[in-house]
Amino acid sequence: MAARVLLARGGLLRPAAHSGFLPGLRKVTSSSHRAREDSWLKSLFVRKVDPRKDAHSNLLAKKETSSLYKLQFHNVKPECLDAYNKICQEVLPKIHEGKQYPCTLVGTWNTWYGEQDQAVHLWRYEGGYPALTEVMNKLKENQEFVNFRKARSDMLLSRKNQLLLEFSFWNEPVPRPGPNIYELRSYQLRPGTMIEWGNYWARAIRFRQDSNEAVGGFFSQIGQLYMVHHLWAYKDLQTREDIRNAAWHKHGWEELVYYTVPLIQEMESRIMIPLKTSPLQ
Amino acid sequence: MTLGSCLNSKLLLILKGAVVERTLMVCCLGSSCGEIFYSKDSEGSWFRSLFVHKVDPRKDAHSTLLSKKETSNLYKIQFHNVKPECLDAYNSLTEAVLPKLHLDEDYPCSLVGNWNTWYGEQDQAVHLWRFSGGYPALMDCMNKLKNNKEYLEFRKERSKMLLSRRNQLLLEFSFWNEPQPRAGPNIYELRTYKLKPGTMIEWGNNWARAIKYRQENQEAVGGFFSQIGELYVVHHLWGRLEALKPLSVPS
Repeated sequence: MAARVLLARGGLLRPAAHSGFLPGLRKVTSSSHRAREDSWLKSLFVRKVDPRKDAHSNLLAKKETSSLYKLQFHNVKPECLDAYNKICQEVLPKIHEGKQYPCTLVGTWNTWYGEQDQAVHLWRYEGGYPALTEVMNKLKENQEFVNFRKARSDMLLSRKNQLLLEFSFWNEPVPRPGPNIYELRSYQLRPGTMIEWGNYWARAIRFRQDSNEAVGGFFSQIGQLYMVHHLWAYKDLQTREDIRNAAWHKHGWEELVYYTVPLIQEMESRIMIPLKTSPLQ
Repeated sequence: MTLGSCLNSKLLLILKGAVVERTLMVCCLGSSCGEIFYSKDSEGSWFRSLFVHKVDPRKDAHSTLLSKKETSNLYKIQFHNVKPECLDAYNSLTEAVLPKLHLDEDYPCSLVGNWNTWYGEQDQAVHLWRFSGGYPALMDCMNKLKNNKEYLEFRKERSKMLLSRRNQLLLEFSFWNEPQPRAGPNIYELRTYKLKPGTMIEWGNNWARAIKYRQENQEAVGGFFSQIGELYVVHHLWGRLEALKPLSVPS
């Protein structure tokens, strides 16, 4: 009896054809009456996601380049933040400019809102994993860098890093003049939903190009998995608010938010200020 | 039979919908499960609500749909984890400096409250600021403070006493009370909820009705949702006179 009542209700669900948390319900409308009852019940309990055919790195990342990105989060002892910034500004640009190191510093920031007393560094390795290994081996021999690491370790509470690839449909993070504030929105997705996320954002990103605010979009490969980072640049917080609110007036944006939000387990937003030596200002 | 067992596991999932982190003050009993069960008069909708957590598509930003329209108040909440041995020194320092910022008309901000935690995460100081002019006021304050020597000294001193700190920028819910100064002695409870992404509007809709049940003894101080920092976070701030026994009302 309960099942039949549910079926009648099931019809009401058809116009919307989805629920925020069970996208599998979309599949219900195309099956037959009897099968619909079974699959509808099944879909309530089993979140149906299309089977993946390949690795994320092949399906989602930019094909033309093989850039690998490294994102570092350094929690600095509050009293050491100035000293930490000083040594970073001395040493990191040398690695960036050094031709023997096949890596580029994309940006370096201090957080302003969110977790505070945190430094964020984003590196690009144009040759992928071989480049990463090469840089690591060369740095082991670099006495200045070894000393820097020792001095830095006295100033840190903790640190973590992730290796990322960039989404094929996002802008490439290129240096830009300031002054800008940056927002790093980090999403912990439900495992299995990365492709779905990518599909929607491939369309969503077009709505967010008007003010040149999109800097880069990345997904993690090593470190915390199923993490997505979106990096945005704004003139100031009010401009950010205005740009984000304006997106709601564009037809299609609300639908994309509706479909992508249920894929998220947790999300965080950091507002960051670039250091003087950051290529992204 | 299979339906029965699946029912239970789904119930569990729904019950965990809004994760409650009880931070300050008195340990409250009860959880948020009361709101999940709908009336049983219509069996269909009762069943439906158990299995399908249907959320309507949003049409606009949270800041437009949920916050107070008449004012453009922006709130900043700071959580400072103080080194336990420095807590007294930290309090002396902040008590010397923060009221000056609050009273100074040059700075478009006001201190709504500052507290030390008692139950929950300990040796933590919580500060709540209001910026009456929104983001421009925030930037104005920040730029002026960069040039305030006394404040820079304070920051330097303070940084030695801290383990870590984090902050969030919040907006207030339109249907909650506005946090006004009040005479004590009171104890305050800050209930912090990490919502499932996508459920903020639904939360707001239900609490717009729920808040009416919680107006006794002026216990409702302020209700906020985050805009910057950890996202999909809601804070409810309650205050009650120390003399009154804590009410064990769930959620």
